[in-house]
Amino acid sequence: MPDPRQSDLYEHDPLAGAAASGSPGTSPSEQVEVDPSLYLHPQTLARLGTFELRAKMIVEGISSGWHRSPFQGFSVEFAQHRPYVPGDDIRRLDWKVYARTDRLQIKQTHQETTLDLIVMVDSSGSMSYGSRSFEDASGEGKKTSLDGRSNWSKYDHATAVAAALSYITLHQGDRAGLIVYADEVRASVRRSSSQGTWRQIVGALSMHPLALENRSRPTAIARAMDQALASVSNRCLIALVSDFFMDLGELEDAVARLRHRRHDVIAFQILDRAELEFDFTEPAPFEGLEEEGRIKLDPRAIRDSYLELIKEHISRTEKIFRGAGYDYQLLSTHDWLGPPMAAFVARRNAILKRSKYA
Amino acid sequence: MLGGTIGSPAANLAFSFLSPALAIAGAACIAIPIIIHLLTRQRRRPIQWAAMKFLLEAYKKHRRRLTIEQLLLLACRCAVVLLVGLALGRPILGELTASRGPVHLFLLVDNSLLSQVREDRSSTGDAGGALALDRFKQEAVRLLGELDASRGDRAGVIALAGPAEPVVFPPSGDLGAVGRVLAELPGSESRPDLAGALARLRADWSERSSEPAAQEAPARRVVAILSDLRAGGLDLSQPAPSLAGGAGMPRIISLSPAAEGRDNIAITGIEPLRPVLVGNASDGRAGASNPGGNQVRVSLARFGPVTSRGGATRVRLALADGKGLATAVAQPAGGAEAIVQWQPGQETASATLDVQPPENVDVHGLALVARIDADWLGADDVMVRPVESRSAVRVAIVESLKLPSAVNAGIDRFTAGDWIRLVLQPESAGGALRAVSPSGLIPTTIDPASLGRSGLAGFDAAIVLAADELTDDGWRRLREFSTTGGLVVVTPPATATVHVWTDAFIKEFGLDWSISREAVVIEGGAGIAAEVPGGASNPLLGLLAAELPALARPVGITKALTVTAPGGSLVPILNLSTGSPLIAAAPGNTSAAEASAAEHGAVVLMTTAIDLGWTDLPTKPLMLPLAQEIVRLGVGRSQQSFETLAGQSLRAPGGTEELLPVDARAQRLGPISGARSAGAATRMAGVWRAVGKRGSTLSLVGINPDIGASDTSVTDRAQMTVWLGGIAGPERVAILGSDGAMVGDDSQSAGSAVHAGSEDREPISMPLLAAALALALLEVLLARQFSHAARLEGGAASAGRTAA
Repeated sequence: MPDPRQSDLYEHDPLAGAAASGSPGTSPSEQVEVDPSLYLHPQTLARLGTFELRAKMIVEGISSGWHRSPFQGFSVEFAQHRPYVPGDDIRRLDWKVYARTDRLQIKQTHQETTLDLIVMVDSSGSMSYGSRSFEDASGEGKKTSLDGRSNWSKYDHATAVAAALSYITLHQGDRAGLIVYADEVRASVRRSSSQGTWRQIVGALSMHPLALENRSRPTAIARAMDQALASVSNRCLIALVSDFFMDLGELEDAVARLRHRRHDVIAFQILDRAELEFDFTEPAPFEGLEEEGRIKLDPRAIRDSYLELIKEHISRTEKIFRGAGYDYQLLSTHDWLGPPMAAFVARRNAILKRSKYA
Repeated sequence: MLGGTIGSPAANLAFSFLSPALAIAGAACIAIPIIIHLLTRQRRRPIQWAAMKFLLEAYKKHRRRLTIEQLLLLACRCAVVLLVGLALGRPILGELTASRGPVHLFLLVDNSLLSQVREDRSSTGDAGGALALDRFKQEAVRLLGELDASRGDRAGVIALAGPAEPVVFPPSGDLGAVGRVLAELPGSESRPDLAGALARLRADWSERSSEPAAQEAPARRVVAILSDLRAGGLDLSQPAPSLAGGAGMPRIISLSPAAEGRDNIAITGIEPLRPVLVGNASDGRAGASNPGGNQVRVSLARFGPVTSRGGATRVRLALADGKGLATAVAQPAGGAEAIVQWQPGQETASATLDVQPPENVDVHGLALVARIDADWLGADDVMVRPVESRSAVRVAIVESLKLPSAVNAGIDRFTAGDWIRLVLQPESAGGALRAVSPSGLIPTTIDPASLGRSGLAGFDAAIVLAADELTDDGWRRLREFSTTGGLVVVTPPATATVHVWTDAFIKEFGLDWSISREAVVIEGGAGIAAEVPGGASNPLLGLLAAELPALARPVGITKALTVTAPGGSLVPILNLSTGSPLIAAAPGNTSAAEASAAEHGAVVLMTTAIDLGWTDLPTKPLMLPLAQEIVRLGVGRSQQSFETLAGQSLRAPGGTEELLPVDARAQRLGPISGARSAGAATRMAGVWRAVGKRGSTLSLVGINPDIGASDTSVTDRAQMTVWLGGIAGPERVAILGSDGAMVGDDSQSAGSAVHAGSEDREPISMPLLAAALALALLEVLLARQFSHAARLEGGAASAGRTAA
């Protein structure tokens, strides 16, 4: 991996560039040939001061070398003709066929393939955990986040993922929306493909809804899902970004509800490396982030059991999503964002292809 | 504090502690791990944790096991601290003071020379005033009073005067009788033999430990050392004899070492410059018969604080016979007197005094008695040395009677015998040497042929001038004469050309010499080496050392036998200028120190003949002092001196039937039978008269105080305590102060020291420490096991791979 300090990226002020663009636009990668994965690494992303620039960098890294998307809004691809029956919309009569054959034929085309993305970001208390220091994540850059935290939390990682997903979607001309939830929906951005949507999403992500309340809320995904789906009538791609530290039965019900409403889902389970390895060596009190209380223990003594439990939880979570035919991606806050973004793009393409021939 | 218990005695505790305070402090240290735990608990900052659900679930699954592990670890840590603390308290099994068994008290009473140190010098006389021994006895009686015969307590007494003497041993249950023995225990003048006493105890205990009775009811042993432990009594540079081993370790009770040194001046030696004192001639011309007089050197030494001061000591020396000896020892009157001046720091000095033996004395009944003014230790203020005194020394000149005397025919026809007789009895008369009157030396000519038959009885010396004419019997008689203390001087016969007699001479006297059979003619002649071998310490000619260069210069020697011998087997008395010996002596009998132990008298060989054809020595002035000194000193060296130190093996003349006490000191011991006189150690100083079969006096036997124990300086208390600790361990030593209380703990008395019950029970500190160590190891293993550190390392490695 090349040293970021030696790249031309630093020849331009990224914040200045972001402020100047204000929306998806010219990418620095179009001017400088760099390793795309560099832009997707949290360490690199953390250097960037704003979400919009982070998302931009992520997507530019992923889409580097792609062709432009052929889907430009509503689809007009011909499917077949059928005889007119009373009640059909006369606007859809194929007048050219009528002129040639004097028969009324209705022109049928493929259904519209516009993708609606709803990113649901978990902002519960457990998402505030992060063992990685912000300084480490930011290299020689900032020591603290904009809101003064010194650690790179799972929520930070989730917002990066959500911003990137939204950016990709909006960049393709699709509609993107955002829901930030914990015990209920705490913030949301309506689906839209308009220019201002991106701004709204970034604005919502940059402000932790629970941090304002200075409280930790547990996750209530069923309730949040009900609230989110209440206003959704069409099929959507729902990206769930969470640590899924919740009751898996409730999660299973929520996923079943999504499946019933024929939504497509891609799940990103974000965990911290410390949660996956649990390599603490000194006895210490542990205090839950969702008001589970405090307990003093020797982590070495229960490490095996803990790892066994969390692996089982991860496995069950994946099984829930996979069982419903959805995609599932486990992310570590220490890993780069290339794989989840690639997975998302692949999933999106599959959806579009499926819907085109539905 | 010798011991104590924690809790009530009625509780019948399983443990007692020799150091309860340490035990309590150690037990209190249990709080240390708990405090550490609490402190560390408070210091740790909580970790905010997201996956608390799984943590709680995992903890719930292992909570019971973790609690047990933590309690187990805490218990281990507390137990380690507790065990170490208890070990510091030196616990013993069973209660300390309850259920005492019988006590065997061994009283080691110092009745040596140092026990004669006066307690109080208000009475300045020789008699009167309490001695340290009296105090030792009082302390012994006090300790004896702590015993209870009805319980089976016993007491033994060992007198420390060297060699240590078991007075009541094995210990007796008749404590009253032991007390009486103690009261009658006399003082002695030998040095203390604490090591011997302890060795005796150890040997006895080792022997008795195998007896069934000892194993069934082991008694607690207490060894009480009743001594001031002054510097003269102990060699602290040597480790203390250990009483470890056997049925059990004893408890050691010792009087506190003396706090103050005592001034002491001791007579360390009486040495006549000539061992045999030659008395006045009947005409009273002592100077003529005994040139140089009878000088005696008296050596003194100072000990204690007095060494730092100057001063003067009056030395009196008297020569007394058997009748006047008792008086002379008790209070000398008359005799010579000298004043020795001391400089500050000076520790030794000597004074030379002249004594004159009385006329017609018994040759075996004289002794030199030296005395100084009384001081704190009076026993070493007097010394007696038996001496031989003769009216004259009888010298046998073994010469062929076939040769007519040529004294009246001119010196060119003098025989060797003529020369010898002349120099032994010089008389100046009109400028010519004449043997005209008897003197201190009486020569008698004996024919070599008759020597084998008659022997040399009655003579003190024999000068063999006709060695080639001696028969085998003659040589045997000569050896027998030497064995009885006679001086034998052999010179080669001038007329012999081949000296085959040397073989018989060497063989008969057991010499390792090689003597040439033919005389070596020295081309151009040789002189006499100007220096006396050994200088003033030359055994026979030491007194001539200063004058020899002048005397030897005119002497020339043209013929001489050559004598060679391995190193040490020949003592050169006078050498030729060529380096070969002119006069040589057999080793082992030429020094005063060795004379008494020698098996024969002095044997002297002169390698040149007393003949003008061999040497012109007879005509030179050297001849006279040479012969006189060789005979006088040779006879003296040949005589055994029956003088020993108290505590050492007694030496008495051969044929002694009984030793009869002469002075008051000897009266304490009384007559000594002949059987006891043979090598037995006598601890008391005094003068005895050795009596033969027919009641004749063979010699005086003097036993003097062992001045090796005269050092009345104090020993370092700390050093002494360490030394005593080497006997049975520091924890078993108790020091009794002068008031009978324990030093360092006034609440403890001598009784508690006797009855402290730890002497036969080992403190179990070491097993406790071993258990603590084992527990500590167990704790380390458990902590490692419970901490899952090993698993974490493996897990971390795998996790690291996953992350990579």
